[in-house]
Amino acid sequence: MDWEKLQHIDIRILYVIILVCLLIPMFKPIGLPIAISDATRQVYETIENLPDGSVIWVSHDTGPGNAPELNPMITALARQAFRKNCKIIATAFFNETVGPTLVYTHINEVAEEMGKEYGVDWINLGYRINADATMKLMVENIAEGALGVDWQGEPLDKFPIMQEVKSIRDDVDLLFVTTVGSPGYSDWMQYVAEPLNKPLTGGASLTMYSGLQHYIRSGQLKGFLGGLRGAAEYELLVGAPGKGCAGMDAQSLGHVTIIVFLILGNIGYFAAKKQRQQETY
Amino acid sequence: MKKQLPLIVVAVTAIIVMAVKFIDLGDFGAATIKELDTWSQVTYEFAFLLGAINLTRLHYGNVSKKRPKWVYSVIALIAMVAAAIITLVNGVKGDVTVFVVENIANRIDSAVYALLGFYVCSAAYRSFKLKNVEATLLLGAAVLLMLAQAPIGDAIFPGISKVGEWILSVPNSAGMRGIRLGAGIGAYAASIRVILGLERSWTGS
Amino acid sequence: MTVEQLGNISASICIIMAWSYLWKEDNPLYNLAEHLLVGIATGYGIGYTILVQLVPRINDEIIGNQHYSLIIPAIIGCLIYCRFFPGYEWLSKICMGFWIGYGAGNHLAFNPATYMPQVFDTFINLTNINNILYFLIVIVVIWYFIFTVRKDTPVRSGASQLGRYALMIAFGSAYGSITMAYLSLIIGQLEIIFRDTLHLIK
Repeated sequence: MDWEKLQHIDIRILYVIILVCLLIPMFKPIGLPIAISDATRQVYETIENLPDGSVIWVSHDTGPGNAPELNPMITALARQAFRKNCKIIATAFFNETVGPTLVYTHINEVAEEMGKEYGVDWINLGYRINADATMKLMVENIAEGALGVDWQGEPLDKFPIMQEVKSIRDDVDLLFVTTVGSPGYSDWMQYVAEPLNKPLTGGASLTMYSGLQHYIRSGQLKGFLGGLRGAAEYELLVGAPGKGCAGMDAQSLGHVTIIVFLILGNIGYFAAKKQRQQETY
Repeated sequence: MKKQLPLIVVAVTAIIVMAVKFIDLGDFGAATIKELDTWSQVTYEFAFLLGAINLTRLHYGNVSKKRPKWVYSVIALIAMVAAAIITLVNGVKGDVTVFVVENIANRIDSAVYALLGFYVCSAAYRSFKLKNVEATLLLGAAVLLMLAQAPIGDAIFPGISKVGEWILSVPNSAGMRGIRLGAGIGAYAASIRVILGLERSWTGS
Repeated sequence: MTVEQLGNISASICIIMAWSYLWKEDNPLYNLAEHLLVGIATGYGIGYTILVQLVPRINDEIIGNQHYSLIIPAIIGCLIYCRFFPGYEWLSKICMGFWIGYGAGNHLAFNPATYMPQVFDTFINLTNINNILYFLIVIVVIWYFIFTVRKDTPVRSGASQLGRYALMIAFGSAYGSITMAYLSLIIGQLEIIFRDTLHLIK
């Protein structure tokens, strides 16, 4: 076998293989069980232990790239929150083209199903430029930070929820932040959670999940969901498997494929090296 | 004065922000920081055309000088103007706006980002070789975690998800904390250098 | 055909256009997709900022509430455009200076509150193997990054090497997580094509 040639295989063949391996379980689901991690369980219990009727601040700080990982978290969170008759204030500080619409769509889907009304039980304040300054303003006065309007430009004083929830400092009980970078959990921790001693939880894209484990360990994050896997676990705990769980089988086969690539690539590397050494001698 | 004024602005702004935080100035302090936060928002709001102007200059230059692929620059400019008009006329949540943003821009953006997944796969085959102890440790941890994170890991090796959790919460967390502690000190040093005017690369000098 | 179906078809076409890069780099479909994205995102950003930020700011805040002091930051913000006028670029540095000063001041004022708990939490009770391992790994990793001390003794160089190994495990964990993240992005796109558009999967 020409290991050298195998090392320089046309890259498009690898792309086709990974696509096929991801597609097979989508057509033929395997239904593998998903173990729940401690971090996810901590997120669920933090929210479950809130008194009914609490106010949860949800910030869907995601871009379009990572949205498929984080959207199921918002849906599951809305379900758990509305089941406890909690109020939701939503924002999206990372990206204006995606965040406000996604957070609206995913919360609204659950709200309509559970009979919750926009402006009464939840509201979407959308995206604001300069997240740091906006967070600091909203700590004392939410309407000032949001310029007195919601994400569509409607005046806030016409919504009953904003008569009850005036500031993060006095009226918000928990922060749930889905994050892919900055602005994200680190800004919420810095400007809101630590100064006000508010519990901060949420979820992160797996691209940054390993980099925030030390905050979970120190207790600064009350658990955190990790990507699509975390979303799937959270959906199971909430009792409503959805898009998170649906993607897990494809993930499994995808991971196995990459591990096979790693093994084959290294076998090829060492075999080619040995072949070259033998040819030299 | 042209070189000193921006540095003075940096120092004065930073000192005001820190003074209000560390010194209890009562209502005056609260009002000052609120005003400064609002000023910060307003400056960003009024600077919103910066990206659009840069884009226009770049693509207009391509079109006027008929550089290669100038046709795409025309498309970019038309798309920018059209999207702005559609949003202003139809509103942020208007049907046409949502259709254009959700089904074109966001889809392309997420698809381009997803390309990285394919590159990870090709890197797994071509680039990650067990050449030394460090590479072995890196790949070993990566393989363990990949198996632990996917449900198939527990199906093949029962309990591997707990191993993955341990790797994340002990060695990974400790390593990241060490990095964060060091980087944090570095960030404070960099901030102090900027405030004192010792860091001037951003002024172009 | 409903608007939703049309949207899904448009989304699928856009995904295929973007992924055409995998087949042939720098092809017309990909270039078209790239330039459409840049144009639409910028245009939408302009519209969103005007409708949701500028109009309420000017109408309600500055004129309505007579908060005229906000004219000053408005002028500072507009100074950024001076970078496009030769001879006046230095004025744009005033705006940048304000942003940098505000950011640096905030960082020094607020970040210690998130940083210090990390330091405190490192000094944990060394009562079990996990805690001992955790503490040791943090110490050797910090030791690895101290480049101003010569690592010429076996203990110093050995500790530094252990720090490297610990970092490799951390980066390996990051790579494993990142792989999963990127695979889920691909799965998300495939779901749009095969479930939402072609209805071939549930």
